[in-house]
Amino acid sequence: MAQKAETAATGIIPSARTPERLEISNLSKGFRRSGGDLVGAVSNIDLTVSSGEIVVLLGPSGCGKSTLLRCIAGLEEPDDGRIEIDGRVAFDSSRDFMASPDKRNVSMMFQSYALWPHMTLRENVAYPLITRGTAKVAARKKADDYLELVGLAGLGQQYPGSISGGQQQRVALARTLVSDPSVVLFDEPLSNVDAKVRVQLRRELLRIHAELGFAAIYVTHDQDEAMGIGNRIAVMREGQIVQLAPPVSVYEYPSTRYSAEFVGAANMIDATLVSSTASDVTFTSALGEITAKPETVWAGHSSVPAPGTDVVLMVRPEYCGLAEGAPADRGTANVWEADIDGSLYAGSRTEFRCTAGGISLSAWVVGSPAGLQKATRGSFSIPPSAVRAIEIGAATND
Amino acid sequence: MTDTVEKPVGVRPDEVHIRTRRYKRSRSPFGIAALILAVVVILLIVYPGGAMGARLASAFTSHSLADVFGASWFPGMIRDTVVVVGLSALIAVIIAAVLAWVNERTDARFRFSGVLPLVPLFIPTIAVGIGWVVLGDPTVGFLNGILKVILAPFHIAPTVNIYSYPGMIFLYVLCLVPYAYLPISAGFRNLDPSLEEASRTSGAGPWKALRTVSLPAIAPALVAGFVLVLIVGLSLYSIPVVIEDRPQIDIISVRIINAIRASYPPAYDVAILLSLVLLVVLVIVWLIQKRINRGGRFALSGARSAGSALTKLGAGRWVFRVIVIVYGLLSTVFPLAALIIVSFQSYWHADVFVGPWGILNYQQILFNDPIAVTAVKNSLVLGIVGGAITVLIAAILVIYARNKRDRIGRIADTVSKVPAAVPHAVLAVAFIFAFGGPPFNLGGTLLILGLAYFVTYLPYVSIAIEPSILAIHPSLEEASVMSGAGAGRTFRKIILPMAIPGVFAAWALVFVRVISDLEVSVLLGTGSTPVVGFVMLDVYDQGSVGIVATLALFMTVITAVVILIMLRLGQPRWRRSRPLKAARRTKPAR
Ligand SMILES: Nc1ncnc2c1ncn2[C@@H]1O[C@H](COP(=O)(O)OP(=O)(O)OP(=O)(O)O)[C@@H](O)[C@H]1O
Ligand SMILES: [Mg+2]
Repeated sequence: MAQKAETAATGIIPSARTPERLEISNLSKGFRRSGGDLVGAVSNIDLTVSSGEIVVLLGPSGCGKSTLLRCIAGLEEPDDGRIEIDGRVAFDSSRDFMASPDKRNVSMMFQSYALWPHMTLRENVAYPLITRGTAKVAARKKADDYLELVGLAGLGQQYPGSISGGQQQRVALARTLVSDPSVVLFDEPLSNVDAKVRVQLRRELLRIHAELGFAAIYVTHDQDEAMGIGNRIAVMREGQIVQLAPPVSVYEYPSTRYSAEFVGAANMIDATLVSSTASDVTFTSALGEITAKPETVWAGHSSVPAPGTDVVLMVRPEYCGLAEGAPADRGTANVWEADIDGSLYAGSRTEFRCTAGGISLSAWVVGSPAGLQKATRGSFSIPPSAVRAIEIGAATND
Repeated sequence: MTDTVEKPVGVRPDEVHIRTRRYKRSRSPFGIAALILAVVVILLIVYPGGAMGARLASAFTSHSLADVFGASWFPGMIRDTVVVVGLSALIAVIIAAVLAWVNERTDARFRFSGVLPLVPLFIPTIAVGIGWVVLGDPTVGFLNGILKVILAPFHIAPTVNIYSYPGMIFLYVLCLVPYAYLPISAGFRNLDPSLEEASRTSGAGPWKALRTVSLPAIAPALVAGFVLVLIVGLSLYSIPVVIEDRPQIDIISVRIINAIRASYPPAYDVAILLSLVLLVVLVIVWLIQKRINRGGRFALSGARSAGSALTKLGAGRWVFRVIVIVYGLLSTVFPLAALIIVSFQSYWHADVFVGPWGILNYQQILFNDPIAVTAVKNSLVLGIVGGAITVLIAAILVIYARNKRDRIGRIADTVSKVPAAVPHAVLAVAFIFAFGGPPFNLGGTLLILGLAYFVTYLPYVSIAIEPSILAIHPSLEEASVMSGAGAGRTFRKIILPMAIPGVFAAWALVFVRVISDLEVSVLLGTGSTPVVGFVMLDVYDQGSVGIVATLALFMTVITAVVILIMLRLGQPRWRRSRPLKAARRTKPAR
């Protein structure tokens, strides 16, 4: 209470609370389709989000991202599990308890802006304050502060119908943050604006987040956005979190083939472990012998498998090299002769599709190398430090 | 081997354990209010239904059965009703289809052409009826007076006689067209234009395209229009009551009301058995409609690309414009003009251009008829206040029912639409049984009138208000809840203001219906609680057409003023967001 008063008085100051603002355990939610089929939209989710942290939910359409957010918000009724917000239980299936959305200190920003067309921008932003009992004058003042914060100073008297989509999105952001929520939920907030505006808004969102320090869950389809905005990324699949790690880890050390392929592009090579020493790891594959570094290839795995184990190796195409002509020396480690099947110019790079040892591979080369684009054969190379083992044991077919 | 890899993902949906249990949560005050309202509405509809059923059982005596089904008038009444209602429903649907097609699919439409067919909904039906009596009376009708003057040089003197089968059917058609127009025009509007275009590009002319593609595709809308028109036509009372005496056309709705109103003691058994006949017919019609619609769901989707698919009619479009205009003249302009003229005539005579003129009729109503003045007051209060309450409750029920978790909300939503299928006279009779006597003893009070109006017009209001509430994107509501607002505040601050145009339109509609209601007013109104419909029929029975006409005109003017105010208030002051606005700007292509 005292914190609230202080915040209201001084304007925009983050309040210090316990670090864990959101704790979800074992949360499940299913839907019954109109035909009677059951869809497990969210199953057994565990997730903790701390003060000042942004967790990005990344996953294909229909994997349950929105459903998870709506369960946290209280807009959907989970079937099982427990949600705690700011140390207060918001949902607990074992106690049959569910707090209504307006009783949780959670704010949500909708994909469709959801601005109320019959209210001015200021009224829109002041609404969450007024519903919580702030006096009109103070609420208006704070609404103006927040409109200024999102770069819309002076537009308070406009109606949402008369401003641009990007501006509407800013208003929605101001309205979401104005009540100093513990947890902020973003459901694809930037997917309705064009690429330029999206980048700009993302930067501002980060600036404001640094200033206010709320805990956030941010849903997006866009992996660039996920990388850029998240402290941690939760890769989701069919209602479950398959990997939860900082962006670098998710990209560099994906824990599953699914997250490797969903985040970025990946070359996948089925291989068998030959030997693993302190300095070198050797595999055999359809390509031939592949050498890797033990500190990078086993990263994320708790133990090293026995020789003879089948693994799936992953290499990001931007780490792969492609040069004109056959390899100078056939014996060189991790260099193979490859057929160049085609190339795609993508501005900052050229993406080459190759085949070696019967495996399709791709290599991204900086710029637009004219010689390579005409060539039909070349030498394909993989730096040993770029090799990751992502599936160990019986290789699963995806 | 190792457990270094995270367990493979893929709990298949069908393995997921789903509980459908409901969590305890406190209801908000709004939720409690909505629940109570829902229960009250259900009771207000179910209880009279039950009372009617109970009374029906006791009406099944051989004596009363013989009184009705064995009566000498019974076959004639059935024949007259079938001929008049059946024919006029058919004609009304055809005319409505033409008007709807012209307005929605062709370049013959013009400013206001889409509104003209709907204007009669906002004019008391009895005003149209009496206006046409004044025009079409065989001896003193204005039309006959004019025809005599025009045709005098040719030595022919045809007479128009509104008191006839054709006259009756003509008036029924005028009043029924708007009801058919609503669903049919919606059908044309929602029709995917690419269907028609596909037919045109594969070589069919505009007529062939209409016949082979558009008409079959809007068949469900045509059926819906026909059914609606049958329901309204079967319960229509204001037209036959002003016409039927002279040509002795015997209409069932008039029989039902006269059984109570014009006989002493009231012949409730007769009224109830005739109501049963009506209900049975309506149920059969409804079943047939279901059967037809089951035959196939037609492609009724897709946003219309503005103006792109309008059929070019060339010079022929003037033919259709004339049809639209003639309908406007016949249904609105002529009868109202006749009312104005006759109200200023000191006594009614056929010569339109000759006096004596005076304001005798107005003086009579305003100063010599305290009951009429009270009636106008009562009707205004019931229409405005009762109408507002009806709209509010309908809005709450629509929102409440949208929340799928609540079973009672859904039941209330369904039940509240049932009265639409019940003739108003039947509803009024049911209310007499349910609330007129002990234990409620509401007979002869304004309250029973108000309750009956509420139940009678609630379906119209919810149907009118539903689209504008359902069009509010759920995220707008959710954003309010996420902003810490309870359900009540969300309703007051978000939903109601956004639905304002729909709310006021629905209010205007229920206001007109209450003001121009006859069936309920006549059966439940009394000398001490007069309402306009009650007084108008009383005066008409006494034969003073001039005064009735003046009263009808009076009501039309008041209605028009109130409606204009309501529609004006209903204009949102805020701008719609751009895409919506662009989509609305659908000017007819030239
Ligand atoms: N109200 C509902 N009724 C039935 N099924 C639903 C409902 N809402 C969501 N689902 C189903 O639950 C699953 C998860 O949906 P959800 O909206 O959470 O996906 P999402 O990850 O947000 O997808 P997107 O990226 O497309 O927004 C989907 O299979 C969806 O069809
Ligand atoms: Mg979603």
